[in-house]
Amino acid sequence: MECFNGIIHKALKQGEKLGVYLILRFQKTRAKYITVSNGETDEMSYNEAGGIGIQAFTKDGGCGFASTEKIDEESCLKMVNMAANIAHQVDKRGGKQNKEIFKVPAIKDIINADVKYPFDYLTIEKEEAYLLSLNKEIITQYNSMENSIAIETLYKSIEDQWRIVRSDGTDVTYNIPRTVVSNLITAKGVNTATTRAAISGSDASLLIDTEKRNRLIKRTKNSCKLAINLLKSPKIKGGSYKIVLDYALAKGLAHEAFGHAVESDGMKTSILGNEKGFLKKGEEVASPIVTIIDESIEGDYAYQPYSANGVKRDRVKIVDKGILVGALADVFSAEEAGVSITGAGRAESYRHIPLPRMSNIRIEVENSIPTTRDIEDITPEELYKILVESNLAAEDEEVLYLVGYKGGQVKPSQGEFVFNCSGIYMLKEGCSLYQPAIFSGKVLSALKSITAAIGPLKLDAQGTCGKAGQSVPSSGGAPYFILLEANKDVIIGGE
Amino acid sequence: MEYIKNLENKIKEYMVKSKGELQIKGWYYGANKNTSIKIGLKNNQLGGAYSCPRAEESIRGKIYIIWNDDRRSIAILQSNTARNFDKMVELWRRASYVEIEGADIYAAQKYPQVKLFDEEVNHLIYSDQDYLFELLDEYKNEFGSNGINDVNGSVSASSFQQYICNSKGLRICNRSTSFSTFILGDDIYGRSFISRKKICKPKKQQIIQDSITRINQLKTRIKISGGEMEVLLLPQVMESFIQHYLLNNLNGSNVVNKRSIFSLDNFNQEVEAIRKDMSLCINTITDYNQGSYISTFEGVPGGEAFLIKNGKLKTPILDLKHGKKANRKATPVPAGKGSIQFYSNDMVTLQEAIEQMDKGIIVCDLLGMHTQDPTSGNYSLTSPNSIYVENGRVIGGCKAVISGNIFKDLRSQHTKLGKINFEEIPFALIKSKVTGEK
Repeated sequence: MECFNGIIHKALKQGEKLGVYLILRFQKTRAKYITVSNGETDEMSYNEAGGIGIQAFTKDGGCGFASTEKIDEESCLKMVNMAANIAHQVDKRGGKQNKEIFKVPAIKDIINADVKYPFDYLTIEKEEAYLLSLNKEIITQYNSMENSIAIETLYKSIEDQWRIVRSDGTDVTYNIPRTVVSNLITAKGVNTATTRAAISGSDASLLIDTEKRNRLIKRTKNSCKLAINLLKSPKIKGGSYKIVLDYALAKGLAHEAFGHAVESDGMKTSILGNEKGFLKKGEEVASPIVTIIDESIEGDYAYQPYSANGVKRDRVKIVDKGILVGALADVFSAEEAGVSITGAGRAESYRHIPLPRMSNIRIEVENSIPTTRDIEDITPEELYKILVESNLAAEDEEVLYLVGYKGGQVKPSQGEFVFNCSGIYMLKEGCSLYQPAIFSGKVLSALKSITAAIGPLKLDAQGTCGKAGQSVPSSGGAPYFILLEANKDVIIGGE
Repeated sequence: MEYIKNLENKIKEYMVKSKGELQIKGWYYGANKNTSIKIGLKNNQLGGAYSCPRAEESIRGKIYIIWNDDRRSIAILQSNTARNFDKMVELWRRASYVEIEGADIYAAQKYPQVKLFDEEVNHLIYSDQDYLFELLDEYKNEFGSNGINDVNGSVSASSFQQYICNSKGLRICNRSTSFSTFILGDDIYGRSFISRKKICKPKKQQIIQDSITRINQLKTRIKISGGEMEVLLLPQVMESFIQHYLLNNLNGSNVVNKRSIFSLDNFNQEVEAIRKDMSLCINTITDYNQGSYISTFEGVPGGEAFLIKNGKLKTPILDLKHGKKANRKATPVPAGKGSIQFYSNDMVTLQEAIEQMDKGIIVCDLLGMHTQDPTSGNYSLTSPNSIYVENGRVIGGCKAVISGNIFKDLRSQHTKLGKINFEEIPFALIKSKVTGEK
């Protein structure tokens, strides 16, 4: 990114001349995508892209934005002029002004993420060969006379490089390597059902390292079995139940119920903001054994060490022993939300304006019941046994076990959130399987129902988080399983 | 355009034998040069750090290459691609793959005439940006005078120069525009609009008035008890069902790769998928529709095609590759708003539909559509904002969770579709299982 020094110097000079403060965001991306369908390569591509995003602020705080994918002096200066012109227009038209960026201290830093295998370690042909063998290995095991299985394997390996430069002298360079392999499984018999299994990280170790590869195979086999069993499973009766969530669904709970509701740009209308638009710090929002933390973790799929505004990203305790204590805040709305800046601003690309976002969000539960086994090896029957033996469920009690996160959504202003699973087990001797159904909850009470957890923390639940038309990588987790008591504000949608 | 000239010259350099394994046998590309402006309103205020006005210039597209040994490559095009072609072509070659039954380069004899460019929208970008600011002001004023305290919105105008070319002599070069806007009141209910033309006054009034009416209906909150009841899916909600369940299952790649509820045999046998009076078709040649175009990047002309006619499966949505695999003709592919038409031969009016609701809900929004399994047809979705109706009378806003199977619904004799003025997609009245908060 050093090659941009000349352009940066001229752009900052131009900003000065036009009376604006600039944030320059340079992005360069390399990406490899491979899709394998039912034992054959469906598509494969290598792409390089990049560009510059320019945010300009007048002295009064009027703001304008312009972007171009041409990283050259002429295009950059043209966009500086455009952004500055827009910013002045905003002032003239009485638009919202924001001068917070002027208060942030300048910083210089270069961070190179530590990866075991660099982006070019494997050729794309080698990666294709790994994926073909993985796809074929599984698909041949699950096709039968009665049912057929289709598997689409998606591989995405991306290396983003960012350089954030501000008029105050800030100059931060960092890279974000990320890789994911996911298998989309469709079973067909009398009905049709789809499930998913994935593993994510920062490099090609997902394909090379035996431990990770075996974990993906185990997860995919479990998902294949689940998809086949779903073909004949009924729908659950809608209502409120005692529920066990796996760690990926628990991540969904933290992400949808709390993560979005504490993003500082939405605090004015969020249910976790008060009438002044400040975070309701000190409010009891979860059971006292629950803590929620958001943290960028090196090696994780959603790693990002600095914000897209050039501010270091902090570890944020959002809920501490049931009490709301922190928010995910960026430069522009931290003060309005009555919280400190945590460097939470993220952007999908140079073309987008950064917004406060999560990275890796997790639920921690005190006194989680230990287990030495891998979560992938624990069957619903064994889980039921652990619950009964630990006095967490009575033998005749109705307890639902939801498996496999399929995404979620939230309306922070109304405090309503949902997420969906891949399947539901009624836990008992000889568990029965039901079709997936939506988990619909209320932010202010859902987390108060958490009463226990089983297993160690697992933080690799991977996803993509959408907000205001921008998608960014997300991840998180919890102990293997968390237990929620029946709560009238948590509804499982069903028949 | 110089970019296109340079790109073509570079491609031609690689069509000769001396390039060895880098020799290109066939190719197509599509590229869009885009200039756009977008203005936002957040919490009643124009601009701000998150929704500040923004301008963008870009060239973006896709290139597809058939190498001399029949391997294939696919890659994105950017402004820098022509300049870095020699480096990129080597990287593309390294990422090439074998495509069994890969499609050939295609060029049709005839392409449709379709109007895609609106001078008024173009004018908004280059000379009259006042209109964009005034529109947001109008939203704020209209909402504010109707008791709506918090207004969010945006408006954007874009102008494109599109090039679609291939090694069989196809040369399409055309201009198009796009205008889009959305409004959201009190973070409860909102509407959006997108077209190649500027929004007309009646449509603007409709989205403003519809939003005001619904927001006020939703503000009186009640809790409902569950059970099977009438569920009216407003057009924007029904559209998400069509996109998620019908189009996903009609997608050629999903059908060919067995990731759809429908098999190729189902299409060959014209199996009845939905009720006889209902049809679903693609239309990408209506003037000024956002989803209209002259040709796909592959060179397949825009046009009309029934996917489902009178309830029976007619064709999956097929690009060249999946058309070849399915042994069927490629079809136009949906490309955004207005390119899908869904209707019944027996449509009702909104008034008639509401009047026949003894007990039911009007679903104004849904959370979680993207989490549903399209292949099963099952849905289990939360609507934080539904309107409870009793004996044809609106009672108040409520939360509801709806569950069912959309394919069963679209086969049920009870289901009705209806048209609302200015709406492209119909509303649907279905019977569904509802879980309430009571």
